[in-house]
Amino acid sequence: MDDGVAIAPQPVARSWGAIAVAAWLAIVCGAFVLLVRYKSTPGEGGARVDWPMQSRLPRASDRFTLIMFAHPFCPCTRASMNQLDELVGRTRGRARVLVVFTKLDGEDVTESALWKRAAKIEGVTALVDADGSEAAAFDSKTSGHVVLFDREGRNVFSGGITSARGHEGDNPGSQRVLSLLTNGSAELATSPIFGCALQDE
Amino acid sequence: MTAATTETAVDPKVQRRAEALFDGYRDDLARRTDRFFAALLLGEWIFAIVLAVVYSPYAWAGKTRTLHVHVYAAVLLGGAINALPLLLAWRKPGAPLTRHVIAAGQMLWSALLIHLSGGRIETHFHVFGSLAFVAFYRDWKVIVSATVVVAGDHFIRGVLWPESVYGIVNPEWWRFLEHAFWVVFEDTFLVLACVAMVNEMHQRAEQQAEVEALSEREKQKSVDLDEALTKLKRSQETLVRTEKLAAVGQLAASVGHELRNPLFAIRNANTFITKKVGGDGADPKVAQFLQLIERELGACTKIISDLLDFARERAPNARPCPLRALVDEAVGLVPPANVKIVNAVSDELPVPCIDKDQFRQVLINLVQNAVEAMPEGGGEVTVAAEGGADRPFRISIVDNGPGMPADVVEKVFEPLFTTKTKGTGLGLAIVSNMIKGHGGAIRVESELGRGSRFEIELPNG
Repeated sequence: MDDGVAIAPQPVARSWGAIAVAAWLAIVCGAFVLLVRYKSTPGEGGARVDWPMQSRLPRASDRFTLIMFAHPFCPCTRASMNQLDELVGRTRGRARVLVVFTKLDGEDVTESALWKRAAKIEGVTALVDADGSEAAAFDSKTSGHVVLFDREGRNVFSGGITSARGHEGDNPGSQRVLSLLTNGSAELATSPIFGCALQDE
Repeated sequence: MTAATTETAVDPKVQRRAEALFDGYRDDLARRTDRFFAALLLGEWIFAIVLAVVYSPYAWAGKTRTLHVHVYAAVLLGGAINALPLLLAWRKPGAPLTRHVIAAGQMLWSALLIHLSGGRIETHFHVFGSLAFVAFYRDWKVIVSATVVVAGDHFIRGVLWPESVYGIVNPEWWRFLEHAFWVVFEDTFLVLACVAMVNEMHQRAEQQAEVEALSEREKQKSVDLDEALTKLKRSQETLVRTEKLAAVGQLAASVGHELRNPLFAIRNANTFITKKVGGDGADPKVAQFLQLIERELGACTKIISDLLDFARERAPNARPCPLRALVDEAVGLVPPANVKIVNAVSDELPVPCIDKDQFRQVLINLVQNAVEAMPEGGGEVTVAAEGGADRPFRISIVDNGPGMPADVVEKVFEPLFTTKTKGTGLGLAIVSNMIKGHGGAIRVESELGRGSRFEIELPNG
């Protein structure tokens, strides 16, 4: 019979193993921190602005009006669109909902996946901001920016409805919009906006 | 009420073998699982890259697009996560460190895939699936390592970026524990399963060791039986041979007895004729032939005498007999040759009790054999003895002749075995029988080119 003999690792090998594992964890954790920082860095804009006189967008006078500004190809906005779908589903008929897409030269916005996604949401109207004037009028600079107005055109919310770039799930922005649409009040009227820039920087 | 307990003593050898088998099983399992995870980690890396490229290929700023951070994360961070686990799976398969690092890597993949999939709740099931995969190692410590990574990820992100984990900005400090609880919930069953499976491996190893030990014992029995059968077969052959020899011996004795008297008469007649016609003035041819007849008759007498000595074993009539004088007497009866015979037996040697006639015959045979074995250039034969008092006698006959090969030494005391052209092959067999009759033993050592040494051991008294 051949008895097995366990060979204990040498102290030097153990030290190298510990150093390798520590270095590996440091590199991976550092990369995760960079990734998280990128994803949690909000975009620009989002100041609260009452309904601008120059806007040609249709505003509801009998209920809230909710507008989301979107870049047609921004992958982060897919999460915002999903959050919008959920919000609309939970507050059916309480707001007129518009999704305003930035027009890009040479691109058919209506063929983009995000346009089709928005068009599929019941009660949502998708529009094209051909010259970017609507976004400028509402001080919207980041895709996924949501603004909510009461029937008098007063801004009651301005911000994003995701917790990070392209990150779905419960988040403060969605909760505040939901609270405003259902209770008429919210803890805060703003939240960070996560998404691509609507215009060239 | 008393309880009787039966304790089975475990053979330490079987126990050691069971431990070795268990270590072997565990090592095989760890290496196999390392390979499985190496393939899984590579698959996850490829999947992550495809997911990033398809799901979020570019980040946009108006009309300008750049490669999305998710693509970089999938390629670089995914590669970094896989680097050490794959290196260890390749270089140190089966090592404890390898499986702990692989488990940590697998759980880090959960975190990365959750990021790349946009935090989809479905992707969180990757955490629970990975824990189940990690349990393939059947090592509960590895599950603990994996859980520490999950808890650590939740804790750190909960501090730096709480919305990504809990969906709210200011969660309670213990919220990471709540998430970890569900992981621990699964861990509980996985750890119990691991412990149970390790116990089963122990039992399997013990059973295997017992079966091997049993098989080895049976094999040894079979070997012993084969040896016994071989010995029995040899004994049977020896018996048959002995019976044949006994029959031949009887016949030879009978023939020898019948021939001895006629031969004696012929010898007497030849002596008479030699005296009458072989004297001076006789035809030289006649004298030569008469000498030839006398010589050959002597040889015949010797053969018949040997046959009778061998066939009719006589119990020794032991009496005190000084050995040195007996050696001198025997040496005197050995036909002269160009060989120096030295009687080195001391006068002060205690007197042994032996059958003088038989022992004289023994000495003659041994010394004559030694003399005849010498080359023509001559040599030396020495007869020595020691012992007596409280010790057995040892009588040695040593020559510096050519020696004997090993196959001859083996058979030298067998009846009818001879290397001489005119030998009967009975001389040393008779010697052996006579020594045995005295309760003694004889052995021989020989080396080619160095000579031979016969040693007789006789009990004292």
